[in-house]
Amino acid sequence: MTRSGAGNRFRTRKLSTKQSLAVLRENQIDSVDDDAQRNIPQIETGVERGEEIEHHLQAAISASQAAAVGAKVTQIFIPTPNTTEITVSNYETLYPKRFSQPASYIRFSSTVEDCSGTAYCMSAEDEKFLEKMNATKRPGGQQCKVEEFERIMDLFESIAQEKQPYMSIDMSTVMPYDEMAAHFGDSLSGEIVKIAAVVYSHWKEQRVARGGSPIIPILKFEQGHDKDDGDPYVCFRRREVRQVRKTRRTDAQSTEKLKKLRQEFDSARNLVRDVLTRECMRKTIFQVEYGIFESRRQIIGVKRKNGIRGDDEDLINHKPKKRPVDQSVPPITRVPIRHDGKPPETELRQLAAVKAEKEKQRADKFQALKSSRRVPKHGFVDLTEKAFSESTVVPKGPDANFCGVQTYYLPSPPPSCEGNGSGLFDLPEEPSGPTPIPILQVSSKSPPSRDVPAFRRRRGRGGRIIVDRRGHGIPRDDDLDDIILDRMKHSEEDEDYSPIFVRSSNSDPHIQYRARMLSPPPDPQVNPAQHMRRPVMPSPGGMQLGTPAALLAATAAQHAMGFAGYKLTQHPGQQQHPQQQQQPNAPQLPPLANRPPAHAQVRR
Amino acid sequence: MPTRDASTEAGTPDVQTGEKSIATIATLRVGVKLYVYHENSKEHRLAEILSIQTRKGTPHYYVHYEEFNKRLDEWVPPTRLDLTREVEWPRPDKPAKKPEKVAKASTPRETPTSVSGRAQKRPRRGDSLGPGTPTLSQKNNKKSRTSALAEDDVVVQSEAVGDVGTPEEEEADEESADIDPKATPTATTTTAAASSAAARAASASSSSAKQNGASGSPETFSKEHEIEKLRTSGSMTQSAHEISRVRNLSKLQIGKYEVEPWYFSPYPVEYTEEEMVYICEFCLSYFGEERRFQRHRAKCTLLHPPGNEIYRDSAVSFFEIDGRRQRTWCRNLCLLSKCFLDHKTLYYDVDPFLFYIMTTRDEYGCHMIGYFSKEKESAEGYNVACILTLPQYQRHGYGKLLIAFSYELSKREGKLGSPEKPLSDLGLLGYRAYWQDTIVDLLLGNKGLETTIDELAGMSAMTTQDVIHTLQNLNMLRYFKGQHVICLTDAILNQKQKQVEKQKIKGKRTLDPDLIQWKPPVFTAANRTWNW
Repeated sequence: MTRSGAGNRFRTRKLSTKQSLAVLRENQIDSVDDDAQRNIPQIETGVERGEEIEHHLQAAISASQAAAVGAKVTQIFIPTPNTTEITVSNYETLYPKRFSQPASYIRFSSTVEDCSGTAYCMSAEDEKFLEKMNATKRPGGQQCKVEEFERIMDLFESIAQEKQPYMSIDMSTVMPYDEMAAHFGDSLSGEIVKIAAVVYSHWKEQRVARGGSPIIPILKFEQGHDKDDGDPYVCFRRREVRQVRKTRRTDAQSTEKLKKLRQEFDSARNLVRDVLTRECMRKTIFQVEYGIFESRRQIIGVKRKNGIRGDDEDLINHKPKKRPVDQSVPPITRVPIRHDGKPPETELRQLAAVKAEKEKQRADKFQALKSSRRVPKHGFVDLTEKAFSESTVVPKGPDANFCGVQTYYLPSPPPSCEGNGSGLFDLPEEPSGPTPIPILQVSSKSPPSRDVPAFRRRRGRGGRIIVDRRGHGIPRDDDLDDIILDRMKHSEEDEDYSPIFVRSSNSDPHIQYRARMLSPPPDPQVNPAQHMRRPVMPSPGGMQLGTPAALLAATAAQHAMGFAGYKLTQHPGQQQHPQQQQQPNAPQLPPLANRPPAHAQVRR
Repeated sequence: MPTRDASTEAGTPDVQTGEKSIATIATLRVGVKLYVYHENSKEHRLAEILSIQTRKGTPHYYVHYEEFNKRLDEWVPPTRLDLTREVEWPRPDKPAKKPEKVAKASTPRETPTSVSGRAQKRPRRGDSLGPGTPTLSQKNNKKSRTSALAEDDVVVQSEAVGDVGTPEEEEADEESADIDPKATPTATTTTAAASSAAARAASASSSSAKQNGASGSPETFSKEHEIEKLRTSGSMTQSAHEISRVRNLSKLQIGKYEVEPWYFSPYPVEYTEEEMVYICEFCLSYFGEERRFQRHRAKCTLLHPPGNEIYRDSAVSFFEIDGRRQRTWCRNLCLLSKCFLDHKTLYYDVDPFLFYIMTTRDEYGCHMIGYFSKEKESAEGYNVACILTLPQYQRHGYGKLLIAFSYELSKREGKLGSPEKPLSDLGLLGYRAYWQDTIVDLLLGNKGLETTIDELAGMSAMTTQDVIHTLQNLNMLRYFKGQHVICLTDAILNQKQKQVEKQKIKGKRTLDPDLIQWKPPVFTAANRTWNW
């Protein structure tokens, strides 16, 4: 929108729509400084180029521009052809005063066709014919009213339009009256049909005079071929339907819709069939009852005839005794069904009630937990901090976002790698896989200590996903001298000097690391799904080692899988943990800082 | 495209100008440019002959004055032509261009065999009579206006092509066949008229294409492009067909007004022969015969536009009408408004548009003052497609009201809007006036001393482009101390002052947005597909 104008002596800033513009009066502006309208591009007027130069428009534009700079100009109008308010003598008769405005806004949906009666309107020529026809009629005979005449003509026109749409092309056969009359249906009453026969000749005459086209000229519509593209009299073409983009989803949706439709039709059909069966049975019942009635009647006759008395009990219908089964079933209170399909009002629960109930449940649970803890803790001092609190504090600093990771070898590749498994937990009972695959475990939210392998995912420039890892090398020995380190830094110059690396593969950290790498997988007997639900306790000191590995295995399993297969589609860890952490009934676990994870994992 | 030709001509006269020489009445033909006396401006102006017809033995010429809007085109008798000056002949076609044209004629979109066959079948009276015989036109005096026009055209046409030779003539014929498929010997007089008009038009278009120094193909392309654009949306076209250069209706009677149409409108071709076309004020149906019209009025019960009233104040009402639901009414409206809108197209149907009709009320009913149409879904963010104040209500401030209403609707929708382009000359002036009013009011009402273009746009529902356009046009956008500022110039403030005073006397037409009872209509996917 705003490109800088070419040919300026020096650059001026572009005009931005977001830029704040001071609103000043002319006297506030130093005219010297107002150096042309630089780099505000001339925006097109929107008038077609050819017409923009038209004399009257230019005159009007320049007049308004002159006015804009303060010149005195008379307003210029673009001349237009004449419009005269004629005193249409018959306006009153043409347009009777019959409009009364309703108090509310008008709402109206009838169409022109609904509002204008018979489409055919009599012409002066028709009128002459009609008068002549009425005059020649025998005095007692039916006079044809204008309305009837129009109805007849309209009928002829519409039948011709329907049955002979191409009459204008082939004039040889105009539909004869008899054929026409066959299509009347019941639209004309007996008397008028007689008139119609007379009117037909007039109609045919008119139609032939019009070359077979409808008597009242109609608009020229497209004829179905594109040759009429250039004919300016052809108008109101059908617009092409905008193509709906075909996707698999829309396909599936339509399939679903069709299926549903089919089902609904099926059920409707079944319903009708059942109704039919019921009615058939009812009919049978009536027939049977009628049979009984007839038989009884006969019996009564026989009895009367023979004077037999007694045993009349069989002749009347007794009220069916209520079966004891009915008693046992409590009367079903019919709950009124709401139209919108929602459960009835009586079951509406107040939000406050639900909340209170939940709160109560939580409190109960909490109390139960507390009392259960109290017994084993008897005689001990509880030093854990915030054991029951919800740790929502997101750690900050360089350790933030790191997830502790436990690595161990699975005996067989996880199902996700094979591509056919249904999930992580379809592990084979017998660990006999040939290629162990390292599984990483991501633990809780609180940043792990530095020497635990940990991952962090972050988003780099351009949406790259970068996975940082930490604690994966063998940690350097702490007894490495600073001087030696310093020496190593500058070792390149002196080739003779070989740096001293003091290393012991039996040092604690090394063993620890190896143990971690070789630690067995979680106990297959334990249903890992349970662990999934089980919350991970955030250890207050940010110590992660103490957390039982079984828990870790479960909680982090998904993410670990992601790492193992180098599939980073899942968001590793961070977002999913808080819910698990916030469970208040988490088991209280003392921080077990230095325990090798392998132990905890199995024993737990 | 007479105007376009004119513009290019004005720019580069040496390329465009055809041969010049003194002409006589007998040698005048379509395409000739000469000086014609224009009554209102009381001077001779250069004008192009677009059509010739003979009335009572004397030829009449339909002329388009250069640099005047097409609505001022008119029929003039020979007495108003200035033949003492040299006339400019239509540029003869260069032989070098011919292969191109022939190649274009046999492009796949027409089948050459059928076209040539039809072309041969069609009788060409002009051929048999030879070029430049005015006698024929005199013979046809009694013929109806259109057919007379057609005859003349054929004569003139044959003369025109006679200069160049037969190949060109055939070419013109082929094109006409392409344009009007009904140009068969069995065709009635009216279609023959149309087809010969098409023949003229086709040759005119081909010659104009050549005049532009371009081959025919860009023009064809642009036309196809135009239609392609119209296919899915839009209501405006820029390359109107050549037949539509000549106004086809003589007079309209709408309610108690008699109005001269300004432009061509595709009412049924039969009505072009009528002295007066009667239009029912309420249902907008059209009738060529007075008796028929009276009969219709006796039956018609409509008293207001057939839709929902969405605004009402003491003076006017607005009705909203869905083109899909009120197809007949909206078609009638479009036909009527085409009489006054040059660039409007009726190429496609009214389904994808909503129509907002402004009416006045009295005991007779709600009389339409004007309307604007609006796409149900505008890809380009237009809030108005076509807008028209009927001529009998023009210059009463109603146009501004219509424009204001269109922007009020945009405000309700929470969108910025702009009218569809191209604007007409009157449209541009109307919009500029409204924009100036709106922007100046906003700036004066602005308590703070700073604003942004975006803010102005948001408050007025105008596009930022239109805001900048307005500011710039009013010389209000200045560059001061290294940054842009908006300057409320004294001239603008004076203008405003005068306007306020004038309104105190005359009263001002305003809208009260609170009286609008309207929610942006929502159309389901099924409603948006435009078939029925």
